[in-house]
Amino acid sequence: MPRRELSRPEQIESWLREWGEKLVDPGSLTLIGSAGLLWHLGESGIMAALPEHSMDVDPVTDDEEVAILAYDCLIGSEWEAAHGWHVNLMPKSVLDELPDGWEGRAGSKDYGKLTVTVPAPADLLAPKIRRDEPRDRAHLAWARETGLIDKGQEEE
Amino acid sequence: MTTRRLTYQDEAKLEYGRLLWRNPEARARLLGHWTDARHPHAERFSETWRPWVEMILTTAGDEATGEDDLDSLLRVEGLSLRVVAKEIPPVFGSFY
Repeated sequence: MPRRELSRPEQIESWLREWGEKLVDPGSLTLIGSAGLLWHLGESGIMAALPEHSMDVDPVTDDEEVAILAYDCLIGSEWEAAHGWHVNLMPKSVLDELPDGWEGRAGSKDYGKLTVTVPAPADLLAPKIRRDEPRDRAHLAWARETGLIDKGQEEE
Repeated sequence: MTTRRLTYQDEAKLEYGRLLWRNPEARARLLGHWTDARHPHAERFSETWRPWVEMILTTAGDEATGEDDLDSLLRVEGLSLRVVAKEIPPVFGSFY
């Protein structure tokens, strides 16, 4: 059976479209981590695969309906069985790990009734650079190779 | 802030548990899941922790009761917000 972990921008796009269609009322989420990097790549029109594939996406939301959708996509869910990766809701405080002023640099897009905010690539990478694990280093190198960031944008 | 002493995992259980708790259907579904015989924490939750977990999830949205006040209330009972948040059962997607 082929591996179906999260690695391509179109998987993010498809997931967000799906949720945008399911929402009854307008909702929103902020997408962080490698899924956010994939989103930016998709927006730039580059369809390169993420190295060190991911098993989940990390959204943050204060929207009840979005959270209810997310609970149907947790680890072990039918949704995960169908997609090969799951949704891992993160608390709002995780956004404190992003560099100051990230909101002003973030990208945003509407998918039906779902508004998605994604911190800029350099901001998404800042926690990874601080953590500096092999997977983080691979994502940083990939972000450089794909042109998501240049050296001047990286946090020291 | 009291919640900052929680792990991200426990903080997420508390934050999103509170969000879902406001919705009667979502609340009933959570309770059904947490008391399901297949849930490994079902006995522990039902026999000991349910009133405390319900208390911290229900307290959400009451701006008059901050997290530190809630923590102080729990400490009178020999507990803390951190201890009770850890006892919010996880959700297992396979039978949620």
